[in-house]
Amino acid sequence: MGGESLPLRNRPERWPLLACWELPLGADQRPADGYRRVTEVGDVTVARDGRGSGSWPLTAPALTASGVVKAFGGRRVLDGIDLAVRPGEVVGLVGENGAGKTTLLRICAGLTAPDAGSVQVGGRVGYCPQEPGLLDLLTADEHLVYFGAALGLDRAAAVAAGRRVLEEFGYPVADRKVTRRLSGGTRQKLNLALALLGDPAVLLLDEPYQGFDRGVYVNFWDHVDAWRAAGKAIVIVTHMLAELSRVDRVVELAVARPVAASASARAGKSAG
Amino acid sequence: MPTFVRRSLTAAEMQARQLLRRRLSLYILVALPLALYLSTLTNGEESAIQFGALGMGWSVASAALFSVLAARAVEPRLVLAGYRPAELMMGRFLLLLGIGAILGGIGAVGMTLVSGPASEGALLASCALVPLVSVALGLAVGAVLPHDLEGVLVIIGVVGVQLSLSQSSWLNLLLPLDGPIQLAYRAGGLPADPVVPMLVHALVSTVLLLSVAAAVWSRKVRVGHPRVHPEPVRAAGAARRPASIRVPIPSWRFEPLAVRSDLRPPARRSYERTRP
Repeated sequence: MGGESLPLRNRPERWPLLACWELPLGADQRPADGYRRVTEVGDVTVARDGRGSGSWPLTAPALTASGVVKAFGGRRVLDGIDLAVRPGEVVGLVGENGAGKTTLLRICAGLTAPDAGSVQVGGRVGYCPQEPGLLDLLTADEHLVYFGAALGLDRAAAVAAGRRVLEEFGYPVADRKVTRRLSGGTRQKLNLALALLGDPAVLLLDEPYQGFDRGVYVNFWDHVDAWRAAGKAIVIVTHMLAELSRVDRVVELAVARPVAASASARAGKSAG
Repeated sequence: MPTFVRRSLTAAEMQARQLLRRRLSLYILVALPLALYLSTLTNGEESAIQFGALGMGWSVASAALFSVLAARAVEPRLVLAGYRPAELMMGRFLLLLGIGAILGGIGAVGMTLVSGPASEGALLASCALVPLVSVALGLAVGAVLPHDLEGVLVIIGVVGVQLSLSQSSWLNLLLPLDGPIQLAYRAGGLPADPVVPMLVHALVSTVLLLSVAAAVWSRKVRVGHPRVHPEPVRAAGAARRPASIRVPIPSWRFEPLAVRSDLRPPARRSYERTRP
């Protein structure tokens, strides 16, 4: 690919648990007008680094999380996280198990209340949870009608809109099984279709491709590109590091450790 | 049709569809009060009507409890999609009330035919109020308690204590099903409290339990953050996204998978299991 290696950035001292690096990209992946894609870890600011004549679209963020703090059982999982995602931007959220990726996504969706901080969204949010949040004894069409009614869609419109997405992901729409009888991957396709129903401005996807077969998985990332082009602000929790070149920014959440311990570890490392 | 009504009816319809697919649950829903009633018939008509009413309450409260718990994971998402918590709650309430009315109707007709109650009006009122209070009880327990085991135990406890208390105990007043059960006593020809306080007790219990259910449940499913602006706003003078990094979707991506030879599974090879 001939990608260029970019130097590791200094870790900002005020975020002791976070680090930043820039991802080397191949020439074919780099935007032609002087932009570089920046992979950020523990991102708090707009990562796009505009150079050259054209400016990156300076739209207001469609999703802004500021100073989000969340603790569970005395352990602070999220410690002052800031995140801004603009329309037409795809952010990959990565991190170890227990780092708080799902919690951050749920807070961004408004489903979990943060202990401190705030989230603002500029439009409707489509949320695709990691575990398909489906009703076991309803069919796909009934799910579409149920969710569609919330969006003001009548039955035919909801089913038509949902089936369009489902067909693109290879869902057997003619099959009228209740979701309990579907495979995990098929349930996940419906889960994703429900998140996309009503054309949301912000898409929060928590490992949305779990159980997808290879063809649908490839197709999924192509759809991400299409959603980006349509101006959606997208956050994807992913463990598929090979696909990080397809997102605009990567935000890694580190597992929170006591600040004193990490400071002493740093001191020991520098002394060594 | 107003949005609130339309969405509530949609919610009720979807919950009804789920319930109708649980046929075994439906059979048990009817069988439980019937079994309690028939098994106590030998002890006398009076206690049989009381046990039949309590069994009905048990069934309906359990159905309400499980309808809340089964949808707990999904309903925050429905609220995120645009439902108001009150719409989902109303849909559930309407459905359960309908089920309760059917069950109460079957109970009233059956007990009238078999037992020949002393007061048919009291029996009718009891069979109407038991499902009403029980729906409220099940919704409240489902909203407050986190898991089905705790919920079932609480409902068993409430019904069990109601059964074990003597009719004259003042503790009866603290139990939500006391009003309708006193009416069942009256229907069986036993001395019971005056009718009006019983009706008031039933209605107050229903309102209190529904208030608890609505308050706690709405808190659990609410979606938290404010929407600052309805649509993303493009800053003045900002350029659109450079066309060069837009990614068009090639047409093959929407073709059926079967067309794509590269995604077909390899031909299956036959093999033989060899015996050692």
